Amino acid sequence: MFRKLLEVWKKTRRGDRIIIGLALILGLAGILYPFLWDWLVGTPDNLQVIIHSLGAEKQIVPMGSVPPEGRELQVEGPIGDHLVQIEQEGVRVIAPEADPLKICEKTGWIRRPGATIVCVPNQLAVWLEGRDEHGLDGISE
Amino acid sequence: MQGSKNSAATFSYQEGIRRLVLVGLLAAMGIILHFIESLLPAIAPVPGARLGLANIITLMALILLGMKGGGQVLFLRIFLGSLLGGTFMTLPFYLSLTGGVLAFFSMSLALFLGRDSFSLVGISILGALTHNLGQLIAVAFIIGSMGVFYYLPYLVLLAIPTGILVGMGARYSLQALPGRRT
Amino acid sequence: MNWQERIKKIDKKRWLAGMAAVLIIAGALAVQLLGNERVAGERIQETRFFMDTVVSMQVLAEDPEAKAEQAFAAMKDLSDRADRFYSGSEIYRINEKAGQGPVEVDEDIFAIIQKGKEVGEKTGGLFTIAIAPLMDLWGFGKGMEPGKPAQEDIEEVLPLLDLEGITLYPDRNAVEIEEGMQLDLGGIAKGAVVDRGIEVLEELGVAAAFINAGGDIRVFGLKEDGTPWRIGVRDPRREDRGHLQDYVIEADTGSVVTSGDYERFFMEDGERFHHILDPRTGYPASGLRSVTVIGESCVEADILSTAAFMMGEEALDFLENYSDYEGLIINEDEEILTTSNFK
Repeated sequence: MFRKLLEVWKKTRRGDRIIIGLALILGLAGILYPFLWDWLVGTPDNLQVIIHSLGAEKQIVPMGSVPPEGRELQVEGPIGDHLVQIEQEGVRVIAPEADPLKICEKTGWIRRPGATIVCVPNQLAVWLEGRDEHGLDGISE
Repeated sequence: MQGSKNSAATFSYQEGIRRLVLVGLLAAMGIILHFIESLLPAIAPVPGARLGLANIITLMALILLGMKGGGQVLFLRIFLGSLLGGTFMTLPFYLSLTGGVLAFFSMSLALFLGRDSFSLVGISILGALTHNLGQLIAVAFIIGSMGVFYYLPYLVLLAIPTGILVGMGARYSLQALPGRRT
Repeated sequence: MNWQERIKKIDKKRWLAGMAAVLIIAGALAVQLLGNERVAGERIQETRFFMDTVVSMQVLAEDPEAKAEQAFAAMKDLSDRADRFYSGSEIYRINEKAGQGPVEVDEDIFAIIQKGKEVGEKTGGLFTIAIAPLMDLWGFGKGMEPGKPAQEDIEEVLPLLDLEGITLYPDRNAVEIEEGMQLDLGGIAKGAVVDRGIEVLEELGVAAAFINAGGDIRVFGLKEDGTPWRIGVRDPRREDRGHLQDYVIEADTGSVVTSGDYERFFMEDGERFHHILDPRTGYPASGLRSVTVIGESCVEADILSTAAFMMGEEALDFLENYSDYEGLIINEDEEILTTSNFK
C-alpha cells in the first residue's frame, strides 16, 4: 500500500505536486482557522440556531432561550420530517427514515459558530451563528 | 489527438463511426459507474463527499476524443443517467451537472494547456476539487444558505485521495486499451 | 566636594531604580484608592428561565449573587401569581369566578390590573388585559397550537374584550369580571415583573443593575467603570436578530421595551400571523414592524408599546401625548420614525 503510494508520488510531475500541496495547505488551513479563531478571540456566548428549510421562513432559536432539558423541533421536508434537537451544548438533526444516506444525522452535534448541518434531499440547513451585540448589555425586542 | 487529424478536409467515414461508438460506450460506462457509486455507502458525513468514479470516464473521454467528444460524453452521461434513474430535473441532477461541467472545464484546461506539467493523477485531483466546489455552489443555491461552504476545507482534503484513485483508475484503463498508451 | 558633586557620584542606575520603585508604589496605591471609590463590590450576570422566556440580570454590589437571588425569587413569585395558566394564581381565580362576583387579590396583583385598566382606557381600548378569549381563539396561549380562527368566532369574542366589563374595588383589592371574560396579564406582566426585580435590588442597596426579561429591559446606576448601560434596539428588518446600529440607548435609569411582529408568529397559506392582536378587529395588528418605548416604568412602557403597535403611523402622535416617554417606530415601509423628544 505504502510502496504503491510512493510509486504514485514518484510519477507525479511539478503541476501535480503543486495542486496536492495547495489542496493540503488550503484544506488544513480552512479546518484549523475556526479553531484558531476560537482560541484567539473566544466563542461568543450568545449563539443562535438558524433553521432554514426551503419554502418556509427561517427560524431562529437563541441557544440561551433553550431550557436546561433541551428543545426539539419538528421540521417538514419533501421526503419526511426532521427532528432538530437543541441542547445547551449543541444542536443535531435526526433524519427521516426516507433519507437514504442520512448525512445530516451523521454530521452529529454542532457546537461552534459557522458549523452547519445540511440535508440535501430534504432541502434543510441548520447552522449556528453568533448574535451581533458587540459592546451592548442587551437588546430590546 | 487522433480525431483532430482527420477534421473537415479529409473526413473519414470510419473515423466517424469509431467516434460514435466510443462516445456511446464511454457514456454507458459512466452511467454504470455512477450507479455503482450510488450503491456504496457515503464515504464521509459531509454533503458532496463522493468517490467520483464517473470522473474516470470524463477524463478518458477527454484524452481519447478531445474537448468536443468529451463534452458529448459528459452531457449524455448526465442527461441519460438522470433520465434512467428518474432524477431528471431534481436535486441529484443539478448537483451532477454543476459539478460535472466545472470538473470538465478545469480538467480540459489542465490537459490541453499544461500537459507537460500534469500527470493524470494531478488532473483528476483538480477535477475532484472543482467537482466538489461546483456541487457545493449548487447546494448553496438550492438550500439558500452559504453555510454549506463550512464543509469546503473537508472536501478539498478529501479530493486528494479520491483524485489519486480516479487518476490511477483512468491510467490503468487507458493502458488496457489496445494500441494506445498515455 | 559640594552636594552637587556628591549627587553625581551616586550610582545613576541605583538612583533611577529607586525613583522607579517609589513611582510604582505610589501609582499602585493611587489606583487602589481611586478604584475603591468607584467600584462598590463586583458585577455579576445571572440567567433564569421563567415566564416562557430568558430573564437575565446584572448586579453590581457587594455579595451580588445573594442579592440577584432575592430579586429573582420576588420576580418568579409575582410572575407565577400573574400567570393565568397556573391554577394556583390569583388571575386564575378571577377568571374562574367570571360573572360570579368580586374576587379579592393581593395588593400588587390588584395594582397591575388597575394600571392595565387605567392605561388601557386611556388608549381607547387598544390595549386590553381582557384579551385572553381572543388569544385562545388564535391559539397563542400556553401549550396551544396556533391557527387562524373563523370570522364568526372572532366576532363572537370581540365584545368580551371590553375593559368596561372589569369592575375594581380599590378599598378591598377586589376584581370582578363579567361572564365569559378572561383576563390575561401576558402583555403587561413582563414589565411589572421587571419593575419588581429592580425595586427589590434598589431596596437591597445595589450600586447598579440591569434586568432583561425577553427583551423588556430596565436599568439603574452606572457600571463599575462609571459608564452607563448600553441597550440596543432589535432591527426587525434584519434576519439575524441584529440591532439598529444608529440607535444605541445609553442610560443610568429607566426602561426600554419593544413590541414587534417577529416575537411569536405562525404561517398559514403563505401568510404570516403574529401574536399582537388588535382588539378592534380581532386580527394581528398591521401597519408597523415594531414600536420601542423608552421611559422610567417598565410596565407603562410595555403597555404603551403594545397599544401604539395597533395604531399604524398614528402611533407617533399617540406617543407624543406621553411626554415622559420616548418612542421609536419602524413602519411597514421599513422607515425609522421617532417622537420629537427622542434623544
